[in-house]
Amino acid sequence: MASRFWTWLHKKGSPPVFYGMAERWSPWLGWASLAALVVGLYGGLVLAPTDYQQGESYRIIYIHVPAAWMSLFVYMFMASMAAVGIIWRLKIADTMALVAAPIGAMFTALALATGSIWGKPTWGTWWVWDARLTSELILLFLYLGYIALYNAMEDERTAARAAGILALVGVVNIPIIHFSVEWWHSLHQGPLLDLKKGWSLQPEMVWPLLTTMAGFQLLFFWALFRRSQTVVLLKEARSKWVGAMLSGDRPRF
Amino acid sequence: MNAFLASFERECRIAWRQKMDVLNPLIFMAIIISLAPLALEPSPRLLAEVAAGFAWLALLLGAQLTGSALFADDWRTGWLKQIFLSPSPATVLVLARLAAWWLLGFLPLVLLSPLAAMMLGLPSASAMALLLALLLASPALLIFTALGAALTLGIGRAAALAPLLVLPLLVPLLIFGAGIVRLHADGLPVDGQYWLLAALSMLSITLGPLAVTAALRLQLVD
Repeated sequence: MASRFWTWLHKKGSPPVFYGMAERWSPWLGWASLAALVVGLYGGLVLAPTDYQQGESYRIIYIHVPAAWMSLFVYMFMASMAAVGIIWRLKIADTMALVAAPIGAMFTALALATGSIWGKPTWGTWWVWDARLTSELILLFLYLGYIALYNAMEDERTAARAAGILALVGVVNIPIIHFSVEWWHSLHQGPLLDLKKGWSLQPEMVWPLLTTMAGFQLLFFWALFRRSQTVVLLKEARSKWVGAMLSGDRPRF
Repeated sequence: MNAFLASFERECRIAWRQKMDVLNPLIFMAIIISLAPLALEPSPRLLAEVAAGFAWLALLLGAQLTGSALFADDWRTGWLKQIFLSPSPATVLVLARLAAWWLLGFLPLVLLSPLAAMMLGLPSASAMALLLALLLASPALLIFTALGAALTLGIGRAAALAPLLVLPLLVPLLIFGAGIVRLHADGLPVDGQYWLLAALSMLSITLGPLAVTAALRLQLVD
């Protein structure tokens, strides 16, 4: 049973098979993401009612919350892929961890930027040194450190291992960022969704948020697949299957 | 255990002979502390307020200097290969190295920093709280620093990269540790914070040497 699973995993993880799978999945992911983002943003920016306290400015949560959520999700994804790469020597996992890092850094930067834009009218300042904001900034530095370490090493496999170890150690910070809103009485407001108390938002505000979150999630996997494909092509540029594909023969996936 | 003790003794001797590696971080820390009144303003009230924070920062930065010396000569001397050839587990030998550096490289830093904070005007009762916090945090600090040093060992320009990797990882320590002095000065209970620091240190002592060993093993691949 177990050995069949590993055979299956290594088959799916082999570059040509992965490339073909990504090729088939990417359009679906891309279009679904676009649709979810258009619908979610229309719902959030046009249909959802105005907030009685914050007025129209609260609408930035339809970008800010999904971006912040993705900044943590991508890190966890990257660290799990790094773990798979280190433990089972699955090359495709290393590739996915590597290409996820810049995407995660972008989401983190987006969360920081939107938070800052929202903070100006609401708190009256672009930035406060509060635990939540600072730890999100630190998350950005974790991503940048990962990318820097990978780029500084010459041997590709050593670089992937070293960066992977760094990503795994950095996981310590993720719970701290996640719970900082509850542990410290920070200026940042509490979470919108509490599993015990339910949503602190009206239903008309909730569905667009869930839709944009789904859209960002799909966007991440779309970008991940596309970027992984590019890396796979670069790494395998001299292999037979790439040559066959480029010369127009339909490759067998 | 014997291997650990023998290795520990060897590492202590070596660290002791490389006096500059031990002294440099101390001098560096003293310089940072003496820059504080110049960078801010020499008003006693302000300095007393920021003293503990400055001591933390100075320790974190001073530790980076120790980190750059931690595995510096090991390629040349062959230690890096020997620990993986040795019949005792490499992790134990790495742990011995870290323990020796904690004793000789870190303990002086940790002992100096409350003194330095007192020179900036920190009350002595708060200095004791600071000392305890730094002591509890120092094993984790050392292990994260060692990890950064081990990961960047093969890179020529490593000196600039390692702190970049390590400092973000130290944030949990700083968040839990730096608040202690203020809470203590306000007469609030700080036991929870001490336990958290101790827990982080225990976690790094148990898992850290494994990660450091894995990072060192990478250097042998090519």
